[in-house]
Amino acid sequence: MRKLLFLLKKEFRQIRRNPFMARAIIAVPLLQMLILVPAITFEVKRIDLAVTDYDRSPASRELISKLSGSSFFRISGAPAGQAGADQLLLSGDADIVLIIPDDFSEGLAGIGKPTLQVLADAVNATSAQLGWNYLVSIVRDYNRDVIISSGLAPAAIPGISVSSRYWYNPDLNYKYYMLPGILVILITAIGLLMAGLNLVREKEIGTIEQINVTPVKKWELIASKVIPFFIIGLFDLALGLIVGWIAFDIPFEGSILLFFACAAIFLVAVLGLALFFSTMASTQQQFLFIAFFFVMIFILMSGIFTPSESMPVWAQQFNYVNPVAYLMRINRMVMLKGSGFQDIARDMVALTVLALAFITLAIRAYRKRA
Amino acid sequence: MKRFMAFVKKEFLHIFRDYRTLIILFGIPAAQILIFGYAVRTDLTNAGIAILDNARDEVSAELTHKLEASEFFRIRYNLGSYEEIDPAFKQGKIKAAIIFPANLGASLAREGNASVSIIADGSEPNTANLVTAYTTAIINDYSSQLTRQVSQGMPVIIPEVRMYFNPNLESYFMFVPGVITLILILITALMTSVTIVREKEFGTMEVLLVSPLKPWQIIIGKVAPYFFLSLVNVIVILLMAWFVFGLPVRGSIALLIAGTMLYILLGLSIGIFVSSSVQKMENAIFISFLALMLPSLLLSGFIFPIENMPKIYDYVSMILPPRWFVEIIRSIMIKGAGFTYIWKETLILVVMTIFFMVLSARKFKVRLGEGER
Amino acid sequence: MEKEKVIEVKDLVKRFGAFVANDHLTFDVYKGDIFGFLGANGAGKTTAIRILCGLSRPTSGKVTVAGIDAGRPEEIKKRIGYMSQRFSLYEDLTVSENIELYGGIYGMTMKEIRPRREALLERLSFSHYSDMLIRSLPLGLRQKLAFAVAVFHDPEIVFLDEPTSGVDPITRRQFWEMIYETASRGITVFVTTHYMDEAEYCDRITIMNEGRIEALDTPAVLRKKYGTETIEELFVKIARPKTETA
Repeated sequence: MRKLLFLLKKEFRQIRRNPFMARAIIAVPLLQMLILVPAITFEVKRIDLAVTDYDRSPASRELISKLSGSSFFRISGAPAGQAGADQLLLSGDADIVLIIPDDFSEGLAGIGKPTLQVLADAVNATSAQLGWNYLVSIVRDYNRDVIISSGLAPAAIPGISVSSRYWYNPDLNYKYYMLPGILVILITAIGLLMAGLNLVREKEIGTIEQINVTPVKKWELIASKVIPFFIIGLFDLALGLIVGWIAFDIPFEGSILLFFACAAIFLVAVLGLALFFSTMASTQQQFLFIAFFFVMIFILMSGIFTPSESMPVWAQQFNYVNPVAYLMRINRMVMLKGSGFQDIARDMVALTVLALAFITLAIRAYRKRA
Repeated sequence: MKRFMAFVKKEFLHIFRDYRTLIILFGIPAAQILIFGYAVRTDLTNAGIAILDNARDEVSAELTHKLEASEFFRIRYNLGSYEEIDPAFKQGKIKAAIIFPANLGASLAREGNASVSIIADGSEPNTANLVTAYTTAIINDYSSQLTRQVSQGMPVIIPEVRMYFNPNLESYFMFVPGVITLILILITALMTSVTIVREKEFGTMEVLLVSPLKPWQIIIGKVAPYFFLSLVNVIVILLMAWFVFGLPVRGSIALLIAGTMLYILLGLSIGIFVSSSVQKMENAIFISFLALMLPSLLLSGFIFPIENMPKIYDYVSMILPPRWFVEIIRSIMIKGAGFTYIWKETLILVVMTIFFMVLSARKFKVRLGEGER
Repeated sequence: MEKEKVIEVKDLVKRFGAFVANDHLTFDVYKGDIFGFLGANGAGKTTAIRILCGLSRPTSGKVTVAGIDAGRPEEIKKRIGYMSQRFSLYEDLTVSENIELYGGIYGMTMKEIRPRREALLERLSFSHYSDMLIRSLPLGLRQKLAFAVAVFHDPEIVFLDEPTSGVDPITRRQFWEMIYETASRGITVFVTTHYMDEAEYCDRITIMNEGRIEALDTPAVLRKKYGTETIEELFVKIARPKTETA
């Protein structure tokens, strides 16, 4: 135990003397919070809609004005003909092209069937679908107005209206959603890179051999590499949270203590992984690639951008061993919904098991002899 | 020339002997393609919802059945009271609760209208939006059936949609170009800069500089393997996209490869520029990550469309190469566009490449000049 | 010879794939001796020393260090000191911080470390360097300090792997004075080198070539046996024929 204290003293002295570390510890959370949080958004704000009106009737003009009345669509005229529409979509100048055929108003008047043709650029499937849904709902409203005003139908057409409300984030502020997730990425990146690079650097320059020839125990050595970065990780988490508070006015519904407790367990898991990866690498560059590879998978699979429920079963099973997935979920629940210990107890237990497993793995994989 | 070829060969061997790095370099795009293709879906399936059915009549049963039958939703709870909604959200099991009012069927029959409310979990805005949109669509669909029954012979507009380029609305169409951009930056800029700086840090660069090889030969020799590696990697990604997803290159393959080579050249000249500007490996790593990796992930529009971001990101991303390159491959690969649609982006990349080449050539000269004095 | 054996090696073999780095080494080292391990680069010296220190596992053979079998390397590590070929003190720590670290790792308390550290720095006339970063010291001083750190905890045996390579002649002389001083305290010194003149300073030497031990005795006996003036000539005589036929 006393040996560990000496090792820790050494690590802290080295960290303190490295100007690069001090800069990274302060700058990385600031940059990540301020740059990433506002940037990451799936919210579709605006769709460029080009309209080709072959009908040129009061009815078609009425429909176009309905569409332009919505803040969602930005309307422009489109050149006639299929080639013109194709070109708009190819060049990306329009997201959706709406073609109003020349028999549209006749159809509405009861002669034949009124149709509309919609061509959507579906490279981005989500925004194409949202745009289409939105377009359809406006057309349907317009249609109902036409039918009612024509007096063809009874005054009341049966219909169910839908009202929606959003709890925990009434304005669907994307920043509230991303910030808890960015905090997870922040401490993952900090913990994994700093701890792993530290151990690999000692390997690369040879100082680790001098340590290996001493009777120091493996767990003492691993602990001396975990503890400093554990503290740095928690410090950066607090810093990131404060930045989030000040810059984005993020709400915090749940218990801060619970939040930090979960982050602490998570950090142990991540640092265990970092040191395990560093036993596989002999140069800092190699470590960087190994770490990048796994972090990328962990983060993408964690449900940071997309709900993990939409993932196939194998992906959800993978997330049982993905620490990032647990904390991602826990952070959002605790910060935004105010979930309590009982709500997240199962995730916490699983995370603890992972943390123990990864630390054990790191200690076992570490070789004092080649 | 013979000496130069021998040097290039040595550099190739040097890289291909580090099999761990090679595995990772091909593993990253492979894993990403699989994850984006199969795991990460931006659409919605199997979202848990709860139903609070205060009506318990024919209409509510019919609507519940319709929701259940759709692939989007899975009904996790049938709640007994409004108070049960909050705990269900807090456990994270449901994304939305749908509330049918007590007199749903009755008021629909009597007054011709009724109202259903959706309470969605706003802590996940994207999901909340989709859940609301899909639920609304299902209920509207039911409504219009009713409308049709009443208004037989009424003119009902039938909008028809054609989803261009991606008729099945697969989310990976967005990602394949992004994966290519990311791996290219990783190999070209990050790996070259770190390798060259490493030689500087360990002093082996000096040895090369006093050898009879000309400086430009050293640089070419150093980056040639990475040029080759990047190109092979891109071809592997394209083949994977084709065989795994059936996503072919719709446009001209020659044009795509030419564009890719231009981008690789740009990445390499950025890598050389970074390596001529810094002295320590960790600084090169830091710069490459912060200035190159993050932007290519975020500001290229590959996961997050730039037009949805605050305006400032739009302007900033204009000086970043990935933004233009993603546009180029997306146009060629997925839309099948020809050169006339991408000449502007190509021109920007050419200018950037020349800029960085001239800049690093000058830096290099200055350093050599110092050496001679 | 009534001397106590502190290292016993019998039929030590170390293979890396098909390459045999140590080919049936057999030798003993006596307590308090300065034992020289000589050989050209790549002769297998470092491999052997790493096995003796418990950094590497032997492929076969019996190795006992300080009375402990090589199968229990952590026990051996408590009783030895080691100075590796690559300089391995922490460059971003000061002189006294490095001493403190290694003292602490070997189980000393700060109370024990402090007076010993003062005494050591005094003896090496290093006192005014004590708060300087290793990074800022010249190579010769660093090497001397590395050696002092390796014996700071009073090990039974200290292993020095090419401690004087790249050091100027004056510092080398001083270094060997430190080695003598250490041996006189009863600490066995096991030193590898490729400087043949240093062999004369050793009590007994072993000459290795291509993984095998070619000669083992005191320098004087070996010179007489092979009829050469210096160890250098002797070495050339032993190593040359093999290298040329190979």
